[in-house]
Amino acid sequence: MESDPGGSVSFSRPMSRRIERVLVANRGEIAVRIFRSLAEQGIESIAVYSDADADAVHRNVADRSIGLGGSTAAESYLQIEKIIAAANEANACAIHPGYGFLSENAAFSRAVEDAGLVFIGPSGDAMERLGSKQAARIVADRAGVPTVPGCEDQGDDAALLAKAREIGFPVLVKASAGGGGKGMRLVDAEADFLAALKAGRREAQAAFGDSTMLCEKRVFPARHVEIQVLADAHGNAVSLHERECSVQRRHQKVLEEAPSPCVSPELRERMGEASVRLVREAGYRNAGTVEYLVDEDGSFYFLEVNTRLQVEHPVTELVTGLDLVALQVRIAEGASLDELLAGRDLTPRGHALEARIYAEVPEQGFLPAAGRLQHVVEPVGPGVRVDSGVATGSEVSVHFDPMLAKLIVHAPSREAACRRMAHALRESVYLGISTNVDFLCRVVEDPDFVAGRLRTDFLDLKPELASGPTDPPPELAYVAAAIARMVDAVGGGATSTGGGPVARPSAFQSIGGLRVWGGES
Amino acid sequence: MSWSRDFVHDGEALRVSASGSGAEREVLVGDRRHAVRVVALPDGRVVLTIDGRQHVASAVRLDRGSVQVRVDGHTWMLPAHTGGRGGGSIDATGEVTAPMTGTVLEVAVAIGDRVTAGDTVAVVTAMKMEHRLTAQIDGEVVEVALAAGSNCDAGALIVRIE
Repeated sequence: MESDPGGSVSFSRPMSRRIERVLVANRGEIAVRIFRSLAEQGIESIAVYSDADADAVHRNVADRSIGLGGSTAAESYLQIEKIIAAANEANACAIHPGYGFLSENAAFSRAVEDAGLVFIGPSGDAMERLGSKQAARIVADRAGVPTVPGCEDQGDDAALLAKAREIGFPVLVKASAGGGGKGMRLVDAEADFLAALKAGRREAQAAFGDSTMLCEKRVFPARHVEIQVLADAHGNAVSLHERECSVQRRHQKVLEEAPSPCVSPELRERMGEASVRLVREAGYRNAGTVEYLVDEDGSFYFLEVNTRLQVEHPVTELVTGLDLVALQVRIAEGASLDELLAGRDLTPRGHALEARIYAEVPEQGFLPAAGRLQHVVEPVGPGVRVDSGVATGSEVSVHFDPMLAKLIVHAPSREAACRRMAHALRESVYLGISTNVDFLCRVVEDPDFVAGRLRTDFLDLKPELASGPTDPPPELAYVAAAIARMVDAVGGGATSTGGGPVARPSAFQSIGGLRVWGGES
Repeated sequence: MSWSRDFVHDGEALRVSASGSGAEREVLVGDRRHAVRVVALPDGRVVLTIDGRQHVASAVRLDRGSVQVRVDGHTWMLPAHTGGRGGGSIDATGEVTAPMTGTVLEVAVAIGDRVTAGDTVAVVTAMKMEHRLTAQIDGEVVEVALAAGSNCDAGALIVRIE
């Protein structure tokens, strides 16, 4: 841990207010995950929800919920005034933004603080210094952190094309704001540049309300490695080491892990130091993630900073034993890292692996799927954690991101973590719409994945993992379908076409936790 | 008690029926008979014992009687045989359809335009992602069924090419 009380950046006024009630301006699994942490800390929680989410899981697990109206994100979870009004109505003293939506919106951070509430995240100024990829490159340069050759967008498509030509194709165009690969396009040839830029701008505008793009040299082949940092309001920052996130499709992460199988202790230390320098240079406070590409020589290039909790934060939590949400709250209250992490050994323990469960069709280019989840069973067991936003009966809407849940496992070794993940995936049931569960299982059993040979094009090189088996269903599938439909235990009882007295607990006798068919009627 | 459905298996109709009650059931797949012992788990899954081997399964009914079944960690789509309505001919006939429920963002062609297979004819957006729909055949645009800005259901016709 480093301290810099005499640094050039003025940090926001430390707050010493105890946070007692928090509104979570988000939905789905991350809202549920934050509520869990708040409950453990004895902090009251307030959910907000759009009309489309009136029956959503997240709405029901908070202490109180307030409707925002609207269906789309733009009409609900992106409405700054409505969210602050909800916080005031519920007498919340702080707002946690989760990830996505308004989490990286500096105007939101400022509006929250202007309303006399605590924003559980960085100040609007620090967010602007780091939240835009364009601005962050400047900070990285100042902090002596290597960056990918790239150029800035002044809103002039033709000028950006000219610069892309200088960098040399292939290039990546991506949204300067936000994360999650939204708006990102790989452009192999000049002829495709303007169409890609136009589509990227539209996606960026829709997702983040900002169509500023960035154009970068494609570092390739490479691995995607990121450093989790924590920074407090007193100028202290600490690295919680790397996460490996190379397995991606459509520039979106699918499987993440900690530690990275490809990062040596020496590289871990160098990347950690660079990341700490960078966030301190920006006067950053909160949990944050510094993303890098690492090439085959072990050189690393700064990509961007995510000024918020990251989707894949649980793998860091499992190997460090920390609750990052709780730490975010304590940092927002003004606590110092010295106090929060005193006596803690932050060395990663064991291996953690996360799989993102998406409603999508891997066989059709990972097209998002929507509909009703008719049967959900999530795995349990030692070293198995599920951060989920759905349950049996949940509607998966076209309005929001298609991620349903995250399955995270922790084991003594990477190999054991892969086996634990494969088993947990097999035990998972998300039926009613198409999901990527079988695909994820094929990935974690792939010999190259198990051996840790990861690159950002891992999935592109193995299209057979997405397409899956092409054989017709086996006989067993029909037998199982007939029995399961006849019994219709999911539907909650015998149907007119069903086969008997099954789904009521009274119809079973309980043996060792399993309910076994009784002999009645 | 009985249950029966006609599926399409490998292009052929396949009747699957089940009978029995309590723990002992019998399933007929085509003309093959399987004796199955059934245990229901409290989470809604069922354990089937077939020839002494145990399998964990769950299944739900989708549109038009198709079944999505998950057994031993593998998911299968079992399309119902609905009589007459064969699927899968959309590409060959030049119908460009919405791959999912969403919004038509852009229609890049008009009636009378000549297109070549691979040309972008429309862009559909859903869940914050854009999907470029391309012509599968060379030909002339004879119908534009949905305009930019329209909502579309999965499978909805957007452009017809002949």
